[in-house]
Amino acid sequence: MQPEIIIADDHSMIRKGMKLLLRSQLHCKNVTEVSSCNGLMVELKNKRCTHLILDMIFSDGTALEVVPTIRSLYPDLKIMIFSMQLSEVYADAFRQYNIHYYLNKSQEEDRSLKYISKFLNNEPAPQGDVEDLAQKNPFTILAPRELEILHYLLNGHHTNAIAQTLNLSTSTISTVKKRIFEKTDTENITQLLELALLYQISF
Amino acid sequence: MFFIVEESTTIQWMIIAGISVVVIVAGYFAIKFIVKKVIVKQQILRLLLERKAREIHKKNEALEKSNMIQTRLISIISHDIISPLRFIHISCNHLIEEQSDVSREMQDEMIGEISHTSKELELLSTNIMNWIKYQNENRRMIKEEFDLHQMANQIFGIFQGLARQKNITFKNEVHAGSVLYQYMEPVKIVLYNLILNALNFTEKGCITITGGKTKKGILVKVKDEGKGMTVEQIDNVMSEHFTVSSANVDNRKGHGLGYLIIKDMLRLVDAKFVIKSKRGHGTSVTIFLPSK
Repeated sequence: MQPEIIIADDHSMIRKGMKLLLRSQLHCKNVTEVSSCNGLMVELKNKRCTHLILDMIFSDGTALEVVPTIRSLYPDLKIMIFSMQLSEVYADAFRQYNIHYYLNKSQEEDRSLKYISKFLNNEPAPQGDVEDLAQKNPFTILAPRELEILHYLLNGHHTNAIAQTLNLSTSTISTVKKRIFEKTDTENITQLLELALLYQISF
Repeated sequence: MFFIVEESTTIQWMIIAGISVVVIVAGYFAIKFIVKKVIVKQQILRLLLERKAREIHKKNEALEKSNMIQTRLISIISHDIISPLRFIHISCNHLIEEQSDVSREMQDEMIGEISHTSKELELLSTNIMNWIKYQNENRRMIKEEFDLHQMANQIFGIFQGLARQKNITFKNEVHAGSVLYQYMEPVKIVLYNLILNALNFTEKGCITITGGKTKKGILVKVKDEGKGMTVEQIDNVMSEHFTVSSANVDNRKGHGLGYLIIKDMLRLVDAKFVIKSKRGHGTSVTIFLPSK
């Protein structure tokens, strides 16, 4: 059976490049592109899909925010995270939603192709394919919710604004914020930004 | 005799008393004068100290801001330059190797995308360079005379290709002979960014530059027929603490870099700007450039 694939990424070049790879290398004909979280939800509703290749950061939200909804609405959908973000930091957060495929965009092409073809063939995710040479990263210990809020903190959003976007109370955001500072051993946003930069957390 | 002695001692005493009174009074005034001087000096010192503290605070803030921006720039370079470049490379490799396997239609789609993306990368890199170039405040610059009408035409030229793709037309309604004596490049960078913004947030229609002389300077207006901005977005752009964050206008992702550069450049040429906008009816940005 031909897989029905959706690629969700905010860069059209990456979507098109991925589509080309899928068509020419893995002979997948049915590939749809979407560029935002909203677009993704609409497309999933309109079309029966089997596989989703999902970027992390969109203009209207992050993958961490939409994955719970997608999981509950489409429990059978196979999802692979495809991002510049380091897997050692984010992969765990996705595992609790039964997402075991996590491919880094900077992974070399041949390995990426092998990884994707396993994903499309519904094989269990290969273990230990996470970067062989992983740096010890202070952001690894953050919980999913903390990672979600980290993204907005790094973008310079204020507590109130974050609470509004994520539909949470201001006190929750403050608590999580404090926990992020504690866990990363930082005192303020400037330090957090510097740390994020050093450890390749983009935002 | 006794009397005289007595009298002379009285006079002596009186003289001594007189002198002491004078000395005391003089001393009092002298001390008062010194104390006053010390107080004044202290006040001056305090004021100086306060001013220095304010300066340091300001410098600190500027440094922090530039730090934030630098971090943001690195993020933009990684997310918006490196990864698209990587996929241009990968795609090109496949187009060259697997010609037979890829349909003609897919090939065209890819080439179109590569052309579009490389143009965007060029514009983004130009802007990052513009911003970095003018960060050094001690940079020596020379004012010169230039024609605003010509400048608008020149910038329209840069974006002609992009505009044609989106079916957007340019109109240059700057009065011929609107000559300005200013730092030329900063003014050009401002117009460049305003037009780039207008292009990014307009689906179809017209982008117009109008402008002309007033008594005290030159007014330039860049107007589009695009999506417009919300009051919050305008407030955010105008705010003193505006930092670069990814703007989100109807899912079109901006870098927020444009307005940051615009504001920096306008500060260099002592200009002011106003944004007027209505959701769905386009945006107009008016700049006042003083002629002095």
